[in-house]
Amino acid sequence: MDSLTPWLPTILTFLPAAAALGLTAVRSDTAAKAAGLGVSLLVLAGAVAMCVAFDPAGPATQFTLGDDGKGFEWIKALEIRYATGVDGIALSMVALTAILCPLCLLCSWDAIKDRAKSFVVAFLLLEASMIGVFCAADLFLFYVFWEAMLIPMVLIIGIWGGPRRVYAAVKFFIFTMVGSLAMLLAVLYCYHASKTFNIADLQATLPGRVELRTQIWLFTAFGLAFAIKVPLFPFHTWLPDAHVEAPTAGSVILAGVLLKMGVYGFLRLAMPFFPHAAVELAGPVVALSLVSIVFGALMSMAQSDIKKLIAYSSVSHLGFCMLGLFTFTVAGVQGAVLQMVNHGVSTGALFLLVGILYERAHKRGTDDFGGLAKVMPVYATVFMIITLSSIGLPGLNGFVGEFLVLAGAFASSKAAGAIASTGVILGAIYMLKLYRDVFFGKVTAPKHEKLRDANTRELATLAPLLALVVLLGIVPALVLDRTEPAVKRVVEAVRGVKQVEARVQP
Amino acid sequence: MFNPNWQAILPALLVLGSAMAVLALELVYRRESVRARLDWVAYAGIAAAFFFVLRDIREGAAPEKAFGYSVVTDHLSLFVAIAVLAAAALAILQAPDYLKARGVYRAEYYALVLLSAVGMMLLAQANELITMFLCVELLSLSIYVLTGITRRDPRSNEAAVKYFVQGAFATGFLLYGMALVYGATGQVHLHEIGRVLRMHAALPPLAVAGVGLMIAGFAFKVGAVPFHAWVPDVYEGAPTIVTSFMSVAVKAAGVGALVRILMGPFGGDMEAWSGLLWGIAALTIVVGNLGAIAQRSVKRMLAFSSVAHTGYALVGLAAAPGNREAASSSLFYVFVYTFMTLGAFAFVAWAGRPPSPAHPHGRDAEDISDFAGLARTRPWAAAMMTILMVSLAGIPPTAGFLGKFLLFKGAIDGGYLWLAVVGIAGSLVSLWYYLRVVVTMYVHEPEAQTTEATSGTQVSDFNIWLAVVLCAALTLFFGVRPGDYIDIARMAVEHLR
Repeated sequence: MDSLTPWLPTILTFLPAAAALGLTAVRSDTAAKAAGLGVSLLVLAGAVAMCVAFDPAGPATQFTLGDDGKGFEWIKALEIRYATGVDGIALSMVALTAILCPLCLLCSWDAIKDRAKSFVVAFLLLEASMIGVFCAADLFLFYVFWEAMLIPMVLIIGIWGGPRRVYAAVKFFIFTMVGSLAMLLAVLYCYHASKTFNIADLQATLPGRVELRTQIWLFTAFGLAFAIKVPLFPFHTWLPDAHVEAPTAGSVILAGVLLKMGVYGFLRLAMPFFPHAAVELAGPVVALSLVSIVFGALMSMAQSDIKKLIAYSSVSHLGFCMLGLFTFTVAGVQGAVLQMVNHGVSTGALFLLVGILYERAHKRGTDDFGGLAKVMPVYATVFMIITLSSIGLPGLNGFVGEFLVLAGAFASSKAAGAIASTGVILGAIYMLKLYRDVFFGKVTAPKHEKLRDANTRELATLAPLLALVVLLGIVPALVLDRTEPAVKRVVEAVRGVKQVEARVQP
Repeated sequence: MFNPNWQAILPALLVLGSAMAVLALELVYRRESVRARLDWVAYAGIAAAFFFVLRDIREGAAPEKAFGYSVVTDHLSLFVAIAVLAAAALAILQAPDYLKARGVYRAEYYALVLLSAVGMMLLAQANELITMFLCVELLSLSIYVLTGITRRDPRSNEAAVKYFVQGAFATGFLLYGMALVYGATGQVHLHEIGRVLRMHAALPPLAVAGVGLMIAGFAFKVGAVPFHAWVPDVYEGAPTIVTSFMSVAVKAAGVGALVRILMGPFGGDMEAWSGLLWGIAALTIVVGNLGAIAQRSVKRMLAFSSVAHTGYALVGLAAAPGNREAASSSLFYVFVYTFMTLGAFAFVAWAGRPPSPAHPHGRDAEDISDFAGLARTRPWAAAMMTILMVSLAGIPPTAGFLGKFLLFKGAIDGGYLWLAVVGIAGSLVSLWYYLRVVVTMYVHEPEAQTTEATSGTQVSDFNIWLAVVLCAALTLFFGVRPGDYIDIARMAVEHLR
């Protein structure tokens, strides 16, 4: 077992990829769906094993390959190595991915009728590349997975999406590629400056080797790629389209994992690589985060399409994550990481819930429904719990993350904290208004009287997320203890710079 | 005593031999059963040549001189030979049914492909201006004829004439450049030219003019802006399987020759020519990509895309003054480019239809609408084409990405940041038209009349299909395990010092 542990990230990455290739030979759609679900459950088991094997008191980065932890030679001529490594932040992201993927496959069981086998193949390839991004310890490897993620996601939106799916898929693709290519340029420049692709080595050497002006350019290039993914205002315009047109599983994974890639990128690459630039540009980034929080919330209030409402609420929630990051305090960053997990769970669940409703009524306007609490009591209860989690009710998961972020924000700037707090209030308004419109009042259409309540399969997709909502609300330390060493390392890297500057310019 | 050292040109001789054998056999045997097996003679020649090329690479010996140092075998020539031989093999693989359907199944096709391959291989080996010129002529003439091989098709004829006239003009540039270089140095052997030039601190003006004209001549052969005007018309008019061959093999040989000239004798004062190459590379990327956006015909889009890719390939050479190694990334790029572009053109040929009363010369799937709904009717085919398009767009994990990664890395390491920026901006634009093919295949439903036409009467040409699959597989393979080929390309440039 011990000899196998370092290989866990590799196994989790390539198991779904291999399964996807194998599935191309399967003829029956049902068999493909079952096999895909089985594989994603295996990955989940592996991720659980990884969480158990991860030692919170051990080194920050674990599951490294090779004697020196720098992996194995891959492309010798370019000094590119196959290197994996997982710290607490990556671990929680891998776990989140592994939990959401089986749920997505399960929720698509009936919803995806056309070319279901291809859907499963695309989805498993997506899962493989997402886990690959989180586990990569080599910048080249990171970039390869980062880009490889794109094609399956575009196909999922473009083939199995709603009526304007092509527009949404192309928009998503172009936006992401603009950022990715800017990042490619910066990646190459990082190599030019440090002569290595190892992320840990780059974190150690880059800050000292690149002058501030260049750092700012490079930070901007990385930042553009990540800000588009997050998405930070004003790079968010692809998100509502992609979310609305994507099939339920696509929306869940898009909100649950893909948006986190952006925040993760800031944490893992942009901030530690260019701490000076991060400090220098903290003002504009914080400003954009605050605009995202308030703008996202206001836009949510104005939506009449439930999916679009949740999409804009993601902009607001991810604004919180970005704000937490750029407070450069342990509390703020810890809160941001926890909020990444929380948002994945809660918003993932919300998209699943909307999907369930849409499959029955083929509508998803906020005004199309009413009085569903009587018609679908179980469904309404679950929706209520998730809504409360999303607006940050104490005792459920959303609270701790938001609290930590706000604590960090107030510590660094009272004004930022105050503005961000309005986002919490607005969040409560639009979510509760949504709940009122859909579940209370009179049933709007006679045929809605007969809507079936959630069935066993649907409850099975929701139950794990409900459990997490409660569990993370009561014991957030499950995540926080594991992420703390990694978060401290990032904060110290940036803080060190701040203190040096403070000494130079008293 | 003069020792020609035949050993050094053995692979080229083997290919030449098989070309002659194909012609002779067709003359002697009129029986259909023999004529239908002529491609095996071509394969045999190529396989034998491959064997010796790979052996030489494995032994990794020092450059071997032959024919009084007019010809040399080194890593550069061997590297180009691999690309050329692979392209020739794939061109021959695609041929039998395609040519039979168009009524031009003759040994000439095989012989001409093989002869042009001989020209390309020797061009990469040539160490002397006159040999170089003869090789350029040999490969060009063979390709002019191949372009017009479907001789009753007016488009094919038009393409051949255009190519020939403009090509002859460009050859003039090349020859003039060579003459000026000879005038400046009094030498025709590249190593002697280099020796003379190194005696000057800066290149003499006559030599600068000479190398500039030679670059122009080769820029025409590889289809770089502003010498690219022939590319769209010729690539579109030529039979698609010929396009697939000439769009890749000529570039491999042309870039190989450019590397030999520029990094060899002109490798001392690189600033003298790198500005010109910088401009050509940047312009080629911009014009190629912008041109491709506007095309409805996939074949013509691929023609413009191949112009753009020539631009990328030249980025490495243009950045060579700052970073010698960058030149090797140009070589690696044309190598991986060989498979992705050949595969894409082959796919266009495969998705087409043989001649019918409505289209007496056959109709390759040229219009983008011919691709609509292919993912539904032919899911495997759509997957293959997606791999090729993704690779051409430079998205990992494909060889096209790795090639661009190396090129732009070379440019940035050499201090040519802006060239990398132009290249990356070009890649961004290119997404638009590559993605359109993928979207059309996966998302659009086949139009009513094309459904019947594409899936009903279409004859699946297994040979072309095999070529597509091989190219897609190699594109993926070199994207993940490029290993030795990057090293060979580096040694190729290293040995030119």
